[in-house]
Amino acid sequence: MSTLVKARGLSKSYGATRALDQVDFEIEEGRIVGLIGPNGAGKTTALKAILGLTDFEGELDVLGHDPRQARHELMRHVCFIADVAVLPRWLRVSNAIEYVEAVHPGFSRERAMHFLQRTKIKQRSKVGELSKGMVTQLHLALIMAIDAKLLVLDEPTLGLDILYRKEFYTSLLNDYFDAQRTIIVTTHQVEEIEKILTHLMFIDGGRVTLDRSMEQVAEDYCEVLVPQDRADAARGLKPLYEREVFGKKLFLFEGVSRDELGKLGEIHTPSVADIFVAKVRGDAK
Amino acid sequence: MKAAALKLDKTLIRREFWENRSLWMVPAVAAGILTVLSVYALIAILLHNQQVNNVDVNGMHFQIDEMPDLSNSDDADLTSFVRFGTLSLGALFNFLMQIVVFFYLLDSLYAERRDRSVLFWRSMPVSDVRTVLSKLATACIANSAITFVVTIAFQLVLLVLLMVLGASVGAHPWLLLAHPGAFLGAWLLLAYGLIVQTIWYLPFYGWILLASSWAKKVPFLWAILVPLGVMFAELWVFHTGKFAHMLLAYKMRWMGLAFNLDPLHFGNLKHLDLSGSIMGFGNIGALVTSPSLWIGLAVAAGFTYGAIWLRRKRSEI
Repeated sequence: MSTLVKARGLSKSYGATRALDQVDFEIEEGRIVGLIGPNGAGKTTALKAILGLTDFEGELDVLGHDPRQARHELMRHVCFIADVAVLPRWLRVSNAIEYVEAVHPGFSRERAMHFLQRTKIKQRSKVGELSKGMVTQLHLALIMAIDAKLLVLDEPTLGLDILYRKEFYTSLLNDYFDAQRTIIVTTHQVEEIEKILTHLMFIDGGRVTLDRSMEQVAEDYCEVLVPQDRADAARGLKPLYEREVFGKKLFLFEGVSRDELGKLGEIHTPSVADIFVAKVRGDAK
Repeated sequence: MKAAALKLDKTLIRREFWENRSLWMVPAVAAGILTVLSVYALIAILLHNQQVNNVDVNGMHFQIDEMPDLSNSDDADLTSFVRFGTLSLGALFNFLMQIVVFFYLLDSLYAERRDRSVLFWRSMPVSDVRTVLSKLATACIANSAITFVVTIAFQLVLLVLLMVLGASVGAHPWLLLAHPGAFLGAWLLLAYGLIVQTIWYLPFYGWILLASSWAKKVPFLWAILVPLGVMFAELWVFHTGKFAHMLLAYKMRWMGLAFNLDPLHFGNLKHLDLSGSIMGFGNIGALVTSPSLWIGLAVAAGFTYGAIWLRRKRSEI
């Protein structure tokens, strides 16, 4: 297994704001990494740095390249969809396919057609005539038809309806992902992707606050529903976060053994969203 | 590898024509309108008067015996007539294409940032150097090849109309067809002029590309106001107009070098001997050794490099 992305002391400032502050991380082949963080936390900046779309300080190695120097070399093996709809309105669907086929050695027309057949998109249509969801579908079809080592998806399902969102992640997992591929995905709809992630990374205030595998996350984090009278005992174990649910207290713990917590009350596995809220709020305390 | 690179460049240029249909639509429509007007004029002439020399059609005055009497003309006259006609038509479409190309280049690196499609284009393994050069190449193709094709197509239309008119008044315009060499020579001359002009205009193209990749809004103002600002600053500080004069002189100089005529004194044009070597290719040597050409190319390279650098640096407005 090889390391695709390696960041050491990655920093980036916009004026006085530090979007990334001495960040270290590594992304290995065959992972699906969920990059989660509040707006303005530095997610998009980190992705842009990986894609060679912005300058930065520190070290960053993507597939053996410095993305600032060799963006177009990198793009042979890295695909991305930015968080804003970016296909131009004048572009015809057939021309878009023709273009990517000509400029990208890893593109397969058959695969693109296979993905497009499931949609209502016509070859003759221009992007300007498609609905917002259809534009995203087209963009995804183009990108998923490329045999890339690293796929970066920044809010890929923004503007898609719920049916297609489900379908998209299923097809990403079944038709696209394999051991040789790596995916980095950000989204606000964490619950949609948490089942498909292999790794989780939180970014908050320009720093990586969590970076581990999903198994590790399931092991490390535990939620306990505790009756009010045992709440103080629970607080003694230093929970990350607490909130009230149906007259009981719900505590979220990091790194406390399940045996010990089992004595306090009913144990749950927290969702990524719960852990995220706990981390952000907990760190703010 | 080379074939793949060639295919890539071809696709990049085709992409420009997908986006900017005005590059061929505007000249095509202009030629279409001129064709309709010419046909209308021809029909009007034929209907109103077949015998009389002086014809008034809707205020337009035609004097048919002003048409050259080709039956008595010698080869030199004919060559000169065909050359003058070809280059006049060429100048007309060339003027139109200069405007089209100006607006094409203004938008070429700005529109993609405005609609953020630059993020899609830059997600493809195409270097910024290649992309910017493909836009420059498109401008060159539009200014030379498209002007050339449209000019000749419209000229052939006019020729057919001229035949019809000539036949109806008893002139012999088909004698023109007996001298295909005159046409080939004129077309070669047109192509030569357009290619020289296109190379000569590269610094202007480079400047507009730079403005297009620089502007956060209204690239037109950057492209126009910066040189105007320099002109006014010079006028204000030194009370001179050297910069403006230099630009104008440069813009016109290619004609002098390519065709050995001084376009700043158009009065002389009437007395030109269009058939002789003056309009020939005899001046390539002077053209290639002209410092203006090389300084212009260096400036063009500088501006283009700036545009490439900016495209690499900023993918957002």
